[in-house]
Amino acid sequence: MKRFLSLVLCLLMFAGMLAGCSSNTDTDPSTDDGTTTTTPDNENNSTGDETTPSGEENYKKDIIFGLGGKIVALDPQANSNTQHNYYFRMVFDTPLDFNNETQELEPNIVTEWSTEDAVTYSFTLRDDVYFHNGEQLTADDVKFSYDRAPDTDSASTLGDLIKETRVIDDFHFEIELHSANVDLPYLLTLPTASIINREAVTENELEGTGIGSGPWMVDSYEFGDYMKLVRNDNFWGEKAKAETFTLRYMPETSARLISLETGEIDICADPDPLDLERVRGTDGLELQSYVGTSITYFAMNYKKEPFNDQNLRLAMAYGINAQELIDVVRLGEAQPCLSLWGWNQYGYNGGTTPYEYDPEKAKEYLAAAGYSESNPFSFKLSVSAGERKSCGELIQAQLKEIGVNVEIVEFDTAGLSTSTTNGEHEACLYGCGMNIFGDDSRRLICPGTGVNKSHYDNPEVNELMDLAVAELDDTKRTEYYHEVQQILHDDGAYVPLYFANGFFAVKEGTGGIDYYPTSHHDMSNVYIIEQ
Amino acid sequence: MYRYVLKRLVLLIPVLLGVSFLVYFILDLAPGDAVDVLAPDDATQEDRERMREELGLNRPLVIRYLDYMSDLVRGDMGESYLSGQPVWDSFIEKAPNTLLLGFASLVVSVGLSLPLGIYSANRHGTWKDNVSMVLALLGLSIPNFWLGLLLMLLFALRLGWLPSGGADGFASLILPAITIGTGMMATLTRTTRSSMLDVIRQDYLRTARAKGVSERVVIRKHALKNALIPIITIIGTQLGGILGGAVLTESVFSWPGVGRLIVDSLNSRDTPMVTGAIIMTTMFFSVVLLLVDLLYAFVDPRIKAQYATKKGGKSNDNKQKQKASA
Repeated sequence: MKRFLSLVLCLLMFAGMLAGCSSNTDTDPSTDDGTTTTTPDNENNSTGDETTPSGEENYKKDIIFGLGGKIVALDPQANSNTQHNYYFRMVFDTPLDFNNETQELEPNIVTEWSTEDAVTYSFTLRDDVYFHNGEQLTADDVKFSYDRAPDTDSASTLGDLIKETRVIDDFHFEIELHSANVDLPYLLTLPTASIINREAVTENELEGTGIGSGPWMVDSYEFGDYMKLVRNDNFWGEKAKAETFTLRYMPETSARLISLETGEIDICADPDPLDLERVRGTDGLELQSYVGTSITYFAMNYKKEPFNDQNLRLAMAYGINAQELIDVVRLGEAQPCLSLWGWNQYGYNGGTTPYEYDPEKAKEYLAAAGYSESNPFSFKLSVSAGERKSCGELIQAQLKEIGVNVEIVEFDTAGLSTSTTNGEHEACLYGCGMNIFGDDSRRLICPGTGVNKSHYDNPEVNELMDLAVAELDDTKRTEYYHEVQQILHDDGAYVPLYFANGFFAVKEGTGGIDYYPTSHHDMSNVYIIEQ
Repeated sequence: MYRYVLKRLVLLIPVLLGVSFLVYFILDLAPGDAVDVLAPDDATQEDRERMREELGLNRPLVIRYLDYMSDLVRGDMGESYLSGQPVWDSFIEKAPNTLLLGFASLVVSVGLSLPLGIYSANRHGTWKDNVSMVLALLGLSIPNFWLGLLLMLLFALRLGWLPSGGADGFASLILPAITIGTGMMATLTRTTRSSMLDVIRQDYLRTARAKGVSERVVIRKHALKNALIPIITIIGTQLGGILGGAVLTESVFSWPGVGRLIVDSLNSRDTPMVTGAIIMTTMFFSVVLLLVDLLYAFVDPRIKAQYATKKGGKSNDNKQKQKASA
């Protein structure tokens, strides 16, 4: 009897293992590597290997995109995370555009712009841009959008910079800032600078904010489930090749990838690093990748003990082996972060300020801070679940080598955000995506913003950042930013760890995705050539 | 019976008050608030304070709770901090999906558990009994998300018979229903088995068998009916719990249900949404349990007789009082 039961149990376990562990029999990982990577070296953000249309192809009409975050807002000024930005970039127009290949600003609905002092900017609008409700987009809508910005959740930073938006005529307007800011044109490429329709929003603030002038229109949605877009045939620019595009919330990463394999979705955002080989080896699928500018960093609370001691901060900086984190936690799918600056960001020093892993040097700094084997240093490291926790555990092991005891404290995302914003932590692992413009680093290194998790506040750095953002001379501005990076390095303000590579698993024949290193990609021109 | 129903419904009020109080206060104790989710990285401290003020989060907790309850009794469950949509609209959008999945899971659970439990009880102590119990236990032991992924790999990816996720039609219901149903069947199978074991040893069944009644009739007509009370209790509890949803299964199968709504809202510290959704699920649970209690009377004549006796007893008492006063 017992033997029979054992046999039944063994068979069931075996069947489960077979179903769970086997891979697609049609695949051969060694022969088909469909990955295309964009690296900081070539600074080219297009996917390169994607299928290029010759003009006679049949395009798939309905594209379904599975993503891990849910969409809960129509309003481009109400949310600014990755999943919302996919939708905003497709449905709304921003005054200017950023070309990820040339790394240059480009006209969008604004054809010309100029400034003499970086305080007052003049803009000329296209005269053939229409909202999805048929209204023409004019300078009044721009004024309405930017006047509304200061009181919104995600566009308030832009709104707070603007003193006044002046309408000159229907297609000309000026923006006057409170103080000089050379980065304004770059800010006007972000989804938070999207132009909304004054009339529609005034009539119905909830639904009206979903009316843009972009290449796609909102057809239907259920917050927290899906959003279906249809092509805007009256779009002023290049029309999309597909007819509908559905963003579907699929929180479970493995299930999302299975749905791609079964053909239920066409594009799978952010597959798990463990599944990348599977995608590369599956017929009919491709892996498209890009090098992101999302920095994962180790932040130490500069404002309170124990990390108000520079020696201790530098001990951590030299005691952490970032390359090992890349190899073990990211399975090699990340780039070293050699400065606390995005690799494509204005003012990047080219990676000349790395912390080379050096346990002996770390021990020296530790001794200078007054710690030794008989008086070991201990601290609490706040982390969120998943990848950051894995990083934390590896850092715990690395710092153990130099005699530092790390206690890991795990929070959920909201909890970690509050605890670190309020400065309750000693150290934490966090991350943020760096935009192209130099002043974007302000939120990381100057006081007063939620993402300055080190609570770093150095008057010298603050002054240099203020000078740089108002400086019209490129050479001087670059010098200021280089100086800032050197100070941050010497001060041990943060330990930058890595830039994670980003991935999309897609059906073969997929192209047209404009990958942004910040991960806020533009899917407006996405297409799938039917095989 | 009407008085009983009324009494139970009145008792629901303190239960709902208690639940709302606990949820609201526990959420406030958790570190973080909705502003941490809503605010962009570059938001200044002033921006955050303004957002807190707009959401009313700068007011004392007790005041916020009293305001919430005051709106609630007038039928206003508030608006989601995240989407700005009315909580009721969001809940009612997801509830049908969860109810559908819950009922389908219950059908799977009952459809598997009752035959297995009865079969097991009839073959008590044999290897067939043991195998049935192991099968039931497996359903409980295997984590839902793992079983869900295995089923998805087999039936969606390998065989291509069923969709891997979403809520598009009957076919997409099958895999999540099996995943949840097998998880629910362990308790029900074991309850059915033990309840049947109690009944099939009774003298009246021995008498029935002695009179030559076939075993099938003995089990179906005489034993099962008398064994139903504990089974109904378990089914009722499971039915009540379905609106809370099966969070992991809903996530694995991208099923847009209430469970996922609650967990997502919890992670976003969306207090009005979490509190509103939990109040609704509590109400549903309590009403289902009440219906189960009432169902006992229809299934078991002894309980029905108790109601009748109480009613009769009371009316007799009243008559005697009237006579005495006359």
